[in-house]
Amino acid sequence: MTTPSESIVLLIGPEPGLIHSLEDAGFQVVTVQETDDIYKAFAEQHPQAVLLGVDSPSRDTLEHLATLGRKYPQPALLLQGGHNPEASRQALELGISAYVTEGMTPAAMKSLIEVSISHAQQVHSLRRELARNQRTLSERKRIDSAKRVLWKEHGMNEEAAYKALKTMAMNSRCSIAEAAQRLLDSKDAQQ
Amino acid sequence: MNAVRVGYVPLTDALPLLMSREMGFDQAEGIHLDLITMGSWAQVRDSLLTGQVHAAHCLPGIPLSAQAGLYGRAPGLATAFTLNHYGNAITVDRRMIDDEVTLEKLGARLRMLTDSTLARGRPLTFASVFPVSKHEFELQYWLRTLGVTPGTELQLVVIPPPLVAEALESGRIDGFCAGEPWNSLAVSHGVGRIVSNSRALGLPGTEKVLAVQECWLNSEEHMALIRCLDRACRWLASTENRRQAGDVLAKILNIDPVIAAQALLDEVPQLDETQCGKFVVFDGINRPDQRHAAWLLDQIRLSTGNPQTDIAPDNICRRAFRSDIYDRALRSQTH
Repeated sequence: MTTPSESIVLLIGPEPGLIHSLEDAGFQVVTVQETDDIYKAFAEQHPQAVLLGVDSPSRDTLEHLATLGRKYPQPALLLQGGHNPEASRQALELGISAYVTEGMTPAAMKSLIEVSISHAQQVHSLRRELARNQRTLSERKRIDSAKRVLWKEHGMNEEAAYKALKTMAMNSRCSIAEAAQRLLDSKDAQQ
Repeated sequence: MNAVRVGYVPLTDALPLLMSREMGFDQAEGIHLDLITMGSWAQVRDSLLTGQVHAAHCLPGIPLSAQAGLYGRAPGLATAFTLNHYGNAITVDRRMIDDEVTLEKLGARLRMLTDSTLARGRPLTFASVFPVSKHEFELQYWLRTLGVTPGTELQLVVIPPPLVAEALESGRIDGFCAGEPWNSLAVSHGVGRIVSNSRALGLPGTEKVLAVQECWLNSEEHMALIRCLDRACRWLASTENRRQAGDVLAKILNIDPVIAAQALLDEVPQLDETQCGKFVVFDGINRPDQRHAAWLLDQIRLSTGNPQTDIAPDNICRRAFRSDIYDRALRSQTH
């Protein structure tokens, strides 16, 4: 996990007052304007969190950066003028984004940013785990179907079918799941 | 009179809402429209999900994504009213087009730029407005018709329409797809040429919808809002009224009324002058169309690579596009 004192925060738009609060809280602050190239700022600075106005048009660019996936799991923290604890609570519960009120003390801001960063990292690793599990599951399904083919057409029992797939995989230097897929493909082609 | 909070992004297709208030159509239905300007589609979506607004001028992809479970445990969003069909255009860098250039020649030029990133230090780059926007799908479709296939040497980015002319001028992008008046503005600033539009592309037309939280679908206020917008959309059919609407938009965006009215009067300056029908349509298209929902959902799934939802596509479309609510609102019409 990132050491908070080294975290880089990207600040989009004209919020000069905030730079000092953020620096006082121990963050390294990089500022860009709305008209600057946000993609370039991300690629060059690798910020751990982004701060921008709740009505900033650049929020849609951040949405796109988030869909680009693995490289950019940074949380966006939204600045709003008034104090609306209900909206902030709902936004946090939904995991949409965190709302920062402008009058926040550096200490409160520091903890909110840190929590947002670690939350985003958790979500990111959960997603990766989910994708890995889904891949494992689909590989297992393929191996099972291939074993059923070997059982039905060649009368092999489970152990023999698995051994046959393993030999096929070793001979063609691929994984067992890939060997199973090839077997199923060639079966499809025959039909 | 019940106040109804509605979010909108200042664009030509927000006019049914803007004119409802301007002409007092809201009062006639017993509601008071409280219109709230939003800076991004992300803000529109979050305001809907957190209940900060009752309804919003919205990309149809947002309620569809919500119903497909892309926003996690968030409350369901739906639409019972289509605000407009068509209305986007594709604009490319003025420097890429001299006076003799045809679409075929432009296609050849773009394909050449996808061959190598070396000359300019970046791939061919086009901007749309949001990850699940129809703009993105229109852009991909248009590029494919010119023989440019999305891949490694073509980069699609998201740049908000108010910032897009500057991105074009500074050479960060080669073109963009956006709603009006942003294409007409890029042309008037001398930085872009309009090369196609939603109408010419001929994809399913649903462009913006009135999105609401599911729990608000059956409210009296929603019924009244649908009737009020239905009237505004019919009002927007006449050329004289469209001219007046252009002035309202111009004031909000602080731009030249002539530029603001171009899309409304079918006067958008295009490379290919043949315009087949209205550039943007508000009337006669307002009932949510399931076929359009199905097409959009397909595009969303292809672009997000997210097939692992347990909900059948038909169910997602039926929950997101509520033509039954639209029918009920207009049956209970009082005048």
